[in-house]
Amino acid sequence: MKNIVSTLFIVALIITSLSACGNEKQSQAQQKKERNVYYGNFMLDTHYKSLEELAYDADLVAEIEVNANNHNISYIDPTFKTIEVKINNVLKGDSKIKSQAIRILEIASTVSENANKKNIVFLDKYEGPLADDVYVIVGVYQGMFKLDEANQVVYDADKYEGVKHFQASVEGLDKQSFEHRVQEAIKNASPPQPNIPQLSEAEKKLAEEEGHKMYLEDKKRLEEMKKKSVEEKQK
Amino acid sequence: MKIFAETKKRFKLSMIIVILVASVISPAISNAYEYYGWWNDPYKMIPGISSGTYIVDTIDNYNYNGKVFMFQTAWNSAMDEWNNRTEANIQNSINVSGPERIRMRGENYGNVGLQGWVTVYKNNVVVGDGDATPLPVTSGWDYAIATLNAHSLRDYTYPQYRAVGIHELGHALGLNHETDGTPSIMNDKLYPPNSYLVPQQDDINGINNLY
Repeated sequence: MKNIVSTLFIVALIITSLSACGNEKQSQAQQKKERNVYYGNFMLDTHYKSLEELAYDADLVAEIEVNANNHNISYIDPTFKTIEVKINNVLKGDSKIKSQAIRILEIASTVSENANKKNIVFLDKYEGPLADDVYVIVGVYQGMFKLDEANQVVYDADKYEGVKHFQASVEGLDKQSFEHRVQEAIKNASPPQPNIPQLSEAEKKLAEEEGHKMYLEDKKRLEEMKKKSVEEKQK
Repeated sequence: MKIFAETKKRFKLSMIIVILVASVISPAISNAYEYYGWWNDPYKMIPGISSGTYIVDTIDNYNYNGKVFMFQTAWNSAMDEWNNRTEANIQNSINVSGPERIRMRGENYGNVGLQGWVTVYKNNVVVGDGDATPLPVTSGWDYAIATLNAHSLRDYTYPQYRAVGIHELGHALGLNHETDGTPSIMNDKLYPPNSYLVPQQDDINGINNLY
């Protein structure tokens, strides 16, 4: 009897530690359920690996403030909206816009659902059909660094299934130290690594030709499927 | 000596039981593919994926700044890849009738920083809580809109942006991003070393296990 009990105890111990992994996932899922921000469904253009890369792609780097009482949000569609923010300080760009309001084209409620009122952001002027005279955050959310009540840097995109590459190295910095790091990054700005291999002109031409072959094969197969479907309907 | 022999026998019995139990539990908690929501009750396309239709709301020969995209064929083939490799059977509404489950778009959205994205709906309402857009996936859905952004794909060849389309459809069908390095078209970056052009075995397992 004693042997059976001790055997079952060992088994129960091991099963409990295995299922703890599942419970941890459950509690994480519960936390996710309580949030209003989510970056998980995006295919990012660029994964930024340093402040220098963010600075390179930014037209404007500034401390902004979100007015919690009046977001002045304009909805474009379920994915995009614009939000008005105030510029408190300019680190890169036209310093004349200090104290003025600008609009940010927001994706995934990066700014409007942010509980932290003050942020240091890397912004690019938006070029596209969705809105005029607005900015976008470089890297969707990667170029946004929140300032908490103690004026320390917070970057928590990973909690919302976003990416976090180098940002952990600046978390917890006080505002002054972070601004100093940003100023250095602006001076030493460097382009982000391209996503796809950089090909020679000859290689590009070959890749396009191979791609076009695949397109023709796909088109032919889809037309055959459509023809077969029509024939079946007529039977 | 007798005590040692009994302990050894007890240990062997314990390990046999653990292995039997672990073989039941471990597939549920150690797979590479990722879902939305709770690991034991993940969110997915509520009506299932073995029927229904899709609409391709874009064209071939879409011209953006001199680059010509074959978005329509890319999207059709992308859905075909999932239909051919998994239990999915969502067909083009041109060929069959049935409730629309997925709409696919492709055009220029400018420098928003995204190559593609998916928004999911339930009963015509965007899934999620609060005013955030897009919203966290907090329930199953019955409709999805998948989008490709011509601006961000301007340097991509046809196979490459077709692969992004396959990735976005993976989201519409219920797969989350894959981040542990397993070969998967659901990697959050589809460039070297993760340059997959079709669903990989882990992606196929993920879809077939979900429905």
